[in-house]
Order: sequence, then structure tokens, then C-alpha cells
Amino acid sequence: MTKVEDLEIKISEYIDGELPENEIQELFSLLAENQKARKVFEDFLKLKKNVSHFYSNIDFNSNPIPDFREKHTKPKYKSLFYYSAAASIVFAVLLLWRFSVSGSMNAQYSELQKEHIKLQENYTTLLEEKIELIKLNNLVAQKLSESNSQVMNSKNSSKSDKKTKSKTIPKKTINKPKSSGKMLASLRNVSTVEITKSDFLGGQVIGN
Amino acid sequence: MNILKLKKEILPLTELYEKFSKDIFRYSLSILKNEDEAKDAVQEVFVKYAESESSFKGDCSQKTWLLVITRNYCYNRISNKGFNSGSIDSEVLRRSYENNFEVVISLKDALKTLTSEQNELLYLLEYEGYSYKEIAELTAQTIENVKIKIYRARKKLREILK
Repeated sequence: MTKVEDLEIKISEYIDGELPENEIQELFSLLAENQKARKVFEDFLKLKKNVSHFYSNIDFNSNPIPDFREKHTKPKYKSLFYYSAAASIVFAVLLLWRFSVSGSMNAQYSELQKEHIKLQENYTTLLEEKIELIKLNNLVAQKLSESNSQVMNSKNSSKSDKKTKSKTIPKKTINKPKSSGKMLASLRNVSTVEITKSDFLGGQVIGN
Repeated sequence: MNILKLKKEILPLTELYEKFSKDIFRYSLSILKNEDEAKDAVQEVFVKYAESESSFKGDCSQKTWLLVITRNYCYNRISNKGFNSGSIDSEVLRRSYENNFEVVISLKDALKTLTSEQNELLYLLEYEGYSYKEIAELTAQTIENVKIKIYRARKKLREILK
């Protein structure tokens, strides 16, 4: 930097109040000797005032105060509100759907339960009938075996009768079934035919 | 004004806008040299302030914080493509120098011939009344640089307005 520039910089510093105090006296002595430097001093001082005045006169219409805060902050809250409303609607719909589904499922379940009870009752009935049938089957088998043994005994007794006539086997009174066809029918249609005591041989129903 | 002085009073945004919007406009105008751009800058600066209000720690005044935001916004805006600065017609100046053609150039036009940085420094110094030290802190440069740049801005203005 040249001496002229150094001097002008000091002038600029001085009018801004930034020149150190120990340099002010030196500056004034230089200004006293240099007319051009005095001219620079005057021009810089005018510019300082004019620039300050220029910026002071710049007008800016700040009314009305814009809603820049609303513009940039409300949307955040607005969007939050919309998201939460949508989420609550979805949640409510899901709840309603679940309750309706569960309600219909409950109805179905109760229907199934009733059917199950009916089936259980039917099963019990069938089981009882099966037991009766088995009993009957056993009885018939027993009676048949008894009758066979009697037949065999009677044959044997006819042979031995010639030798010992005195020995007589007491005859048991056997009540023949009124009709064997009825028994067969009863075996076939257990659920519809009543089985009575008189249907069995000797009036004795084993097991009763 | 001591740039580092703590301001205990924190103004709400609306009061802040009422109080400082003009200064922010003038500061923006000094850098952008375009009135429309400066008006947009005011809006953007206060929006950014509102967004960053929670991060304001109070280690400087609210006005200083606003000026920092303004400076950052304006220089970013200048560096963007399509930025239209209001510079004086250079042809007018050239003819005035070459042909001694008397052209009345106003201070407004003369200021437009300065760079954004020179304009900014003059604004902070002449209008805001900041010291060299405060300007250096705000613009992140040395006091010596601030001193030299201010001198060169004044020298250029003096030559144009002579």
C-alpha cells in the first residue's frame, strides 16, 4: 500500500471512530499539511452521512404482519390432526368389524353347541340301544345253547331209558317263544319293538 | 452496540417482526441490491427464525441472530442460479468516464456498483453503527480486512460520485 492510501485508510478509520488515540495527533498534523488529504477527509465524511441517510429513508411496509408462523407451523399441527383423525377412524372401523365378526361367530358357536348336544343325545340313545341289543344277543345265544344241550340230553336219556326206566329227568316246562319270527323282527328293529319278559324261554329272563 | 452483550428480554415473534423487519429489509437490500428480492428475504428470514427459535440460546441479541440468518440467506440466494441483482448499467458508467458525459448518478445507483460485501459493510457501519470489531465477528473476518474493505468501498463511491 502506498503512503497516500495509508493516509486515506487512517482518515477512514478516524471518521469511524476506530483510529487509536496515539495516531490521531499525527493524522491532524498530516491533514494540516496536505490539501488533497483534507479533500478526501471531507468527501468521506459526506459519504458517511449520505449512506446513513440513504438507508434510513428506505421504507418497508411491514403492515399487515404476515402469517409466516401459521404458514410454516400450522401445517405441522394440521397434518398431525389429520393423521390422528384418520388413525382413530381406522381403529374404530377395525373395532366395529371385530365386534360384528365376534358376534356372528358367537351365534355360530351357540348353534354348533346345540347341534353337539343333540348329537350327544342321539349317541347316548344309540349306545343304549346297542347295549340292549348285545344283551339280547347274549340271551339268545345262551338260550340256544341250553336248548341244544337239552336236545342232546333227551337223546341220551332215550338210550338209557331202556336200562333204567325209573330214572326220569324232570321235565322242565319250557315256554316256547310264541313266535321266533317276532324275535327276529325284534332283533332287526330294536329301536321300534318292545321286548317283554314273556318273549324269553321259561319266563326266566337271565339278567333280570 | 456490543454484539456480545446478552439481551435478557426475548421478544415474541410478532413484536420482533414489528421492530426489526425494516432493518432486515435494508440489510437484505444492501446485499441483494434488489428490492423484490429483499422483500422475499424478509419473509424467509422470519420464517427461518421461527423454525429455529427453539435453538436460540440467547448468547447474542435477537437482532444479531436475525442479521446472521439474513446474511446467510442473502449470500445463499446470490449463489443460486437465476438470481437477479440490481446492478447499474455498466454502459452508462463507461460512457460517463470516457466522454466526460455528465451522468447524474444517484447514491442509490452508486451503491449498486459496489460488491454485495462492500455494501453490507457500509450498511452495518453507517446505519447499524457497529464497530469494526462487531462487524468482523458478524461477517467472520479480521478487523484489518473490515477496515480495508470499508476504505475501498468509500474510495469507489467517491470516484463515481465525483
